Amino acid sequence: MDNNTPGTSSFPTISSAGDDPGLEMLQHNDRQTCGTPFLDDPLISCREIEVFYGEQCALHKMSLDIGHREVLAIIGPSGCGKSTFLRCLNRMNDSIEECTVQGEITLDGVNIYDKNVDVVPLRTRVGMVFQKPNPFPKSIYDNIAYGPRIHGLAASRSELDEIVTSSLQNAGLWDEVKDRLTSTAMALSSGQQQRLCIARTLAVEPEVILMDEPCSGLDPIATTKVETLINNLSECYSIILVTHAIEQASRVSQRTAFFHQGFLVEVGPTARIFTTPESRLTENYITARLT
Amino acid sequence: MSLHIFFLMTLLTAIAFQLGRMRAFRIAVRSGGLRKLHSLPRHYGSYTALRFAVPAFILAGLVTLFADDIAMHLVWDNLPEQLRTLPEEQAKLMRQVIIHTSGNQSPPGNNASTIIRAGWQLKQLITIILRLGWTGALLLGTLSAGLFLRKIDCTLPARLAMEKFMRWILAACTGVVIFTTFAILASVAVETVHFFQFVSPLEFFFGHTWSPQMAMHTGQVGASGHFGALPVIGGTLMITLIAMLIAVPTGLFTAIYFSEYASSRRRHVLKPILETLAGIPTVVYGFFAVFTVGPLIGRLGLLFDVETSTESALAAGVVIGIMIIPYISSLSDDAIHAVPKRLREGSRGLGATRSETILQVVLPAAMPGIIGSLLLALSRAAGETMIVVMAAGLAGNFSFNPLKSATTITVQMANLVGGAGTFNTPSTLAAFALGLLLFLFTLTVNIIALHIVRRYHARYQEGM
Ligand SMILES: Nc1ncnc2c1ncn2[C@@H]1O[C@H](COP(=O)(O)OP(=O)(O)O)[C@@H](O)[C@H]1O
Ligand SMILES: [Mg+2]
Repeated sequence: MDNNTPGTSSFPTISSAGDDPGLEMLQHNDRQTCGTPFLDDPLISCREIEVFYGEQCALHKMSLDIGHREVLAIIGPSGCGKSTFLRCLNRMNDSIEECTVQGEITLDGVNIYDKNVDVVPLRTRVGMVFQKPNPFPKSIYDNIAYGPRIHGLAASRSELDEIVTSSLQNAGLWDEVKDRLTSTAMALSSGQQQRLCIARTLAVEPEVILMDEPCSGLDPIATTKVETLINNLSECYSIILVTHAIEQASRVSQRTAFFHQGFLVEVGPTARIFTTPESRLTENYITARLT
Repeated sequence: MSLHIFFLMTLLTAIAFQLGRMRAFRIAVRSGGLRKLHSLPRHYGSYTALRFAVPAFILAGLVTLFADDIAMHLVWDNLPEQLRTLPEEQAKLMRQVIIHTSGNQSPPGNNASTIIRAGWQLKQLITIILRLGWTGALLLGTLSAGLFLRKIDCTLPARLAMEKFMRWILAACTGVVIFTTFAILASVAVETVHFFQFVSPLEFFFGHTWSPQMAMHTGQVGASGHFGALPVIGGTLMITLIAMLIAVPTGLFTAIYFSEYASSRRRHVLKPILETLAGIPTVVYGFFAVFTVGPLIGRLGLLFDVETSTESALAAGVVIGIMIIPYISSLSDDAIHAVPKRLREGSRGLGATRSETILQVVLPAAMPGIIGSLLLALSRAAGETMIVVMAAGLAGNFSFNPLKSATTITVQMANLVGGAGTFNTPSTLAAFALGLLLFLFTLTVNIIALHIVRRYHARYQEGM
C-alpha cells in the first residue's frame, strides 16, 4: 500500500489528542495491518470491509479472519469502531438507516451480505451479547425460551425445558435461578442479567458469539464469573469479545486485534501482542493502559 | 375583589420581598458576611412576601366573596316584622327585589318604600364591609410581615420555612382537587337518592322502557314516565363497543407503524397531523356522521338487503371511533417509543423478525402506557354526546341492533336537564342517577385497567 502520501490521507486531524497515547504516532505508519490477520481455515473472514454512517467513514478497508473455537479480543480507544465491526458480523447494522457496509464477509464461505441471505438464520448462527444487560421484561424461563420458541427448536415442552436448563447451566446461572424460573428477569442483579443474556444467546445454539463489552457495567466479582464463562464457552464456540479492559483480553483471548480510529492496526496472538507489539500505536495503547 | 386592591396588594407583596431581602443583607453585613446567614437573602425576602400575601389575600378574598351575603343578612334583620316572616318562596323573591333596587344611583327620598330604602342600605353596607375588609386584610398582612421582619436574624431558617410552605401549598392544591371530586360525587349521589324516592331502583336498573319525557306534563292524568335505564345503558355500551372496535386496532397499528416502521422524518410530519384530528369539534364529526357515514350505511344496507334507518348506533359508533383514534395512536406511540432500544436489539439479535419483536417484546413492555391510552379513549367514547345526538337520535331502543337508533347516558342527561329550571321532578333527577351510573361505569373500567397494569408491573417491569 502506498497511498500514504500527504494529501490523500483520510486520517482525521489530530487536534483532539486528549488522553489517547497513540495519537501522535498517527501520521506515519500505516493503514497496513501489522501481524497476522489471515488464518488457514477461517470460520468468518472479512475482506476489505468498509462501513459508513452517512458520509462518515467508521471502518476503513480492513481484513480479518476469525477461526473456529477461538476467542478473539478486540481492543482500542472508544469510538474506534469496535462495536461497528461487531455489528457487521450479524448484520445488526441493517437496522440503522444511514449505515452502509461494503466489502465481503463470509461465514463458512457464504457471503453474509449477499442479497439472498436471510438474517434470521444468520443471527441464530452468530449470536450477540450487548454492553448493557438487556433481559426482556418476562420471566427468566421465558427469556431463555424466547429464541427456541421463535425458531421452533423445541418440539415439546419437555424439550424446551431441557434447552432452558442446559443453557442456564452452560451460562453458570442455573444454581442461582433454578428455584425462581418463573419470576421476572428484571429482578436479577446486573451480573446475573448479563449471564442470563449469554444463556439466552446459547439457547439458539449459535456457532459464534459476539460480545460487546459485556463486563463494562459489572462489578469485579461478576466480571470474573463472566470471564470464567467465556473461557468455558470457548471450547465450543467462536467468541469475539470487545473489551475496554485490556487485562481482560489478556486473560481470556487467544488472539487480540487492536483498532484505532476505524483502522485495524494490529492483530496477532494475544501473548505476542502484549509482549512484542509490532506497531508503535499498539505498544503505546497497551503500555498506557497497563500502567 | 376590585382590581385596584388586587394590584395594590401585589405591589405590597413585592415590597415585602425587597424589605425582607434587604434586612437579611443588612444583618449579614453586620454579622460578618453572607455565609453567617442561615439561608440566602432571597429566602428571607420570599418568606416575608408570603407572610404578607397569604393572610392578606385570603382575608380580602373571603370578604369579597361574602360581603353581599353579610350585608343582606344585616338588612333583612332590620326589616319590619311582617316582611321578615314571609314564607320562604316569597322571601326569596323579596331579597331578589332588594338586590335589584340596590342598583339605584341616588339615595331614596323620605317617603320611599321600605324596599327601596332597604336596597339603598344594602348598597351602602356592602361598600362599607368591603372597605373595612380590605383595610383589615392590608393591616393583617402588614402586621404579619412586620412581625416576621423583626424576627429575622442569622439563625432564622427561612429556607426550611419556604420548603415547608411549598409542601403545604402542593398538599393544599391536591386537597382541593380531591375535595372537589368528592363534593361533585356526593351531590350527585344525594340527588340520586332523591330520584329513587320517585322511581324504584328496581325499575331503573331492570326496566326496559325509557320515556322520561311523559312525566314533564305534570298536569296530565297518569303521566308518570318510564325510567327503565336498560335501553340507555345498552345504547351506551353498544356505541362505546363499536367505537372501540374501530379505534383500537386502527390506533394501535398506527402507533406501531409510527414507532417501529416509519422513518423518524415521516413520524415527525404525520403524528402532529393525526393529533389535530383530536382537536376537531365533535359537531363537525356529527355532520360527518349524518351526511357521510349514515348514507353509506344505508347504501350498504340496500346492497345486502338489510333494513337500515337514517339514525343508527352504528354510524355514531363508527364516527366516535374515528374521533378517538388519535388518542390511542398518539399516546400508544409515545409508550412504544419509550421502550428501550436495547430490548429490540436483544430480540433482533436472537434472530427474531421485526414483527415478532414487536408482538413479544415491545408491546408487552409498553402495555401499561397502551392501556392508559385505551382508557382515555374509552372514557371519551362513553361520554360523547353531540355525535350521538346527531347520528343516533334520542330514542332509547331496547334491541341491541346497531342499525337502529340508540341513545346514551350523556345524551339523555343533556336531554333531561337542558332548559329545566328546577331540579325536583323525577325526569330531571333521573339525570343525576344516569350521571352516577356513567361514573360507576368509568370507575369500574379504570379499576380493571389499573389491576391489569399492576399485574404487568409486578410480573415484568420490576427494576426497569
Ligand atoms: N448509529 C450511528 N450513527 C452515526 N454514527 C455512529 C453510529 N454508531 C457509531 N457511530 C460512529 O462510528 C464510530 C465508531 O463507533 P463505535 O463502533 O460505536 O465505536 P466503539 O464501539 O469502538 O466505541 C464513532 O465515531 C461513532 O460516532
Ligand atoms: Mg462500543
